[in-house]
Amino acid sequence: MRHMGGPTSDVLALLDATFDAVVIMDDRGRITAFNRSAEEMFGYRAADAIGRNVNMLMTSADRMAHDDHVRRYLVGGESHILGKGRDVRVRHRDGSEFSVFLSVGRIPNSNPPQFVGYLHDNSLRRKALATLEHERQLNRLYLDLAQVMLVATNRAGAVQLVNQRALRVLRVDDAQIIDCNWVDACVAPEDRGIARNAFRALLMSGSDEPQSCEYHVRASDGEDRFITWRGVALRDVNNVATGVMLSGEDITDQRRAETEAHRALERMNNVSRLATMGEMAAGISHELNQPLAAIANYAQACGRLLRMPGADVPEISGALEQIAGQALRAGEIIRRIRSLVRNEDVRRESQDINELIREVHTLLASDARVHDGRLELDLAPVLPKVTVDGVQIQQVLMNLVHNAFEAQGTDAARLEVARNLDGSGAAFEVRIATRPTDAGDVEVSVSDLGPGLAGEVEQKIFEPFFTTKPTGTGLGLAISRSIIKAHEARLGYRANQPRGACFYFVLPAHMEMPR
Amino acid sequence: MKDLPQIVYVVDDDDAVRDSLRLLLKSAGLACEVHSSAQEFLATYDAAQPGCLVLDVRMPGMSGLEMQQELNLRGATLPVIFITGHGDIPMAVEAMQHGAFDFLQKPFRDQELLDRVQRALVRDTENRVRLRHTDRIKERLATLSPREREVLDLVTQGKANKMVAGDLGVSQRTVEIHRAHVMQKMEAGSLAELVRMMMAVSPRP
Amino acid sequence: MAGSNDNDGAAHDGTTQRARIIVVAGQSSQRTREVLNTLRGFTHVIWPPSLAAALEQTGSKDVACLVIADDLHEEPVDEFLQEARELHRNLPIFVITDPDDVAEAVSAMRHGATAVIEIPPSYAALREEVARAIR
Repeated sequence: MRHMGGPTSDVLALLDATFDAVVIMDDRGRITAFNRSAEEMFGYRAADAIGRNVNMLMTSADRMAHDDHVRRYLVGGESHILGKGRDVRVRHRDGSEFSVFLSVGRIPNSNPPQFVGYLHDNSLRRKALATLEHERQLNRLYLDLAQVMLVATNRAGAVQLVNQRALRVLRVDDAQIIDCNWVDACVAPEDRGIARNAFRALLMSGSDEPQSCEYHVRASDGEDRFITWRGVALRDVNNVATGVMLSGEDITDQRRAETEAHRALERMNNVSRLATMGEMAAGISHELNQPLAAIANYAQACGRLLRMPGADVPEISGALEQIAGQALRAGEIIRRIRSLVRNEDVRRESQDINELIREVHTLLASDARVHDGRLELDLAPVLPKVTVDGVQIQQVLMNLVHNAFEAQGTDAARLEVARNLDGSGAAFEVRIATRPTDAGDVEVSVSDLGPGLAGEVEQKIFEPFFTTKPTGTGLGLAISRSIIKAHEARLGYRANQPRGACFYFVLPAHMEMPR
Repeated sequence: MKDLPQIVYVVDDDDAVRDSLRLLLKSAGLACEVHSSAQEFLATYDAAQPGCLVLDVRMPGMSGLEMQQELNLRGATLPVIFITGHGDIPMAVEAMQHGAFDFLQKPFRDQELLDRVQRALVRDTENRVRLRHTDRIKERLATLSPREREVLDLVTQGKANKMVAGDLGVSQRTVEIHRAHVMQKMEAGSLAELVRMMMAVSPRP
Repeated sequence: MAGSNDNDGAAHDGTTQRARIIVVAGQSSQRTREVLNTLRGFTHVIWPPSLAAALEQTGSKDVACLVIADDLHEEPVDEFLQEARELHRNLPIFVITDPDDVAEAVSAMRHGATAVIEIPPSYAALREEVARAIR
């Protein structure tokens, strides 16, 4: 758009092609050119703008200042603004105000002087700057919100970046750690070798796969924290490693808890063993005192009979045979107890499960006697062998049988039932059964005729410290389950038919190696 | 009526213990009868049969302690010597509180058992004599008229005839007559004897 | 016996209503002290200087029970027990024994103990028995 004394059409075409708004005015402030970008920026058509005072584009505050600038320039050649850029507020045709970056120049050789103003849409630039800043803040937030420690170093190992989490773990602030050697400044002295090797391995590796390692860092107060790290090499455009980025998780507490849990389990095992021993001690001493009492009685009776005139020889010799037999019975009980308590360390061997059951039968039968019950064995005649720790499996069986007897009612209930029975019948029965499964493995089950388990009890029965017994510790089943689990099997529960509870586990059959 | 001979009953489920006790008691010249379970014994025992009981604490079916309570319920007075392969103090205390005569841990010296058996047999005899005595007193008490019973209760409390007459609102002479009938029916030679009889039949506090 | 028990303060100082006395016998020993300590929470515990004094004081109507805490150096426990039982037919008498001494416990029961409590493991059973006797 040309005006008298305005730019040539060539120049105008050029102006229309620029992104910046361009406004040219004469020495009296009248607009002589208004390019397309200016049209867009201010909402005026060039035809409407040209010839009008440039004031119309300004906010009221800037108008006075502008007139003053122009006057001073024209009178004294004094320039405040020519050649310099500054932010100004301008006015859109619709009255809204906004900021632009304005630079003003005098068109060379123009006389009277003409001025050209370049108006750059500040808000766009600001927007871009803000976006960049926002992204940087976000990145910082990502770093600082991360639950893991994040540390970046350069090739030499000097810390370039570290997030809040890492600063908290190390109890330092940025200034204390940026540009320091990571390993020397932060890794616990014992673990520096590990840390250096891991660092070198990362720089050397050509792969972008993260690598893992674990080492202690030492906080500024001297406390060591145990960290599990994943690291990747940082690379430039030429794929040259320029440093490493490490992400670390503080697993000190977790590791401590694991150690605690492990110790607690060991303690529980000991408690359970002691409790089992205590419960069994009554049974064992009863079991052993029976043959001893018989031996003492027979021997003392023999002494008396021998002192009597006309000693009854067949009676005496019968008693002596009984003494020998009862002594062997006592020896057998001791042998079984010893085989049960001797073997402390865990050894898995190929075993006949039926034989293991028969080995504890004496002890279990004494438990049955303590509870006025009867223990039945229902063992499959042919079974594959199983690879188990025999003592542990026997402990599980003792625990299950003991629970089964405990489950079968109170003394009063037993007395009531016993009254209604014939002389031979024990009121309560526990059955240990073995059978091959369809898959060829071995199922062992312990069932009773007690009340069985209610649904909510069934849910919780394997939890440590859950017990339905008034004097129970609630550890037995939990330990039994962990033992069975260690044998790659599962301790399960199902209702027994016609009533009662049935606990069972399936042991994988032992594979014989072909010779 | 001639007394029945005393029998030592042995109830133990362990064959060897049972048989060895039989032989030991036999060697000491004691009549003995053995049973392998509480139910077996209870099915055959007649409370009139004197003797004592050697009873295992732990047995399948009915335990010894349960059998003792069953005997108490039946009013059987047979002294019970418990024997056990594994006893503890609470178990012993419970047995004794329920009236056990003694409590022995296996194995034991023959003399230990035989002494206790002898003492238990003596106790059984005493019990039966006392029971017979109190039975007779109760029979005589049953022959008293209500008024005579009132007079008896008051005089054995130590009241003189005059006070008894006042309490009952009758003449002293009437009291004297009732009192003479009481002495005669109770076969008592003196007031002291009457008092002793009443103490024998009064339930232990 | 009971009637001569005039020097027992508790019977005459107006606290008779609430006073329930526990008499403890036993030689001066760690265990006797522990028993006295255990029973301290109960109303009124006396530890008479001699067995004769113990027997005499036991006659008071306010006495809830007699506890024989330990060996009696002057006399076997069973004889003292029998004597106490003959004098006071219905008095609860508790005897403390060493753990697992079944023979001693049975003997004490035969001579008239109401219950025998083994110590250690715990004084809880003693507290329970005495609390029941006081009620």
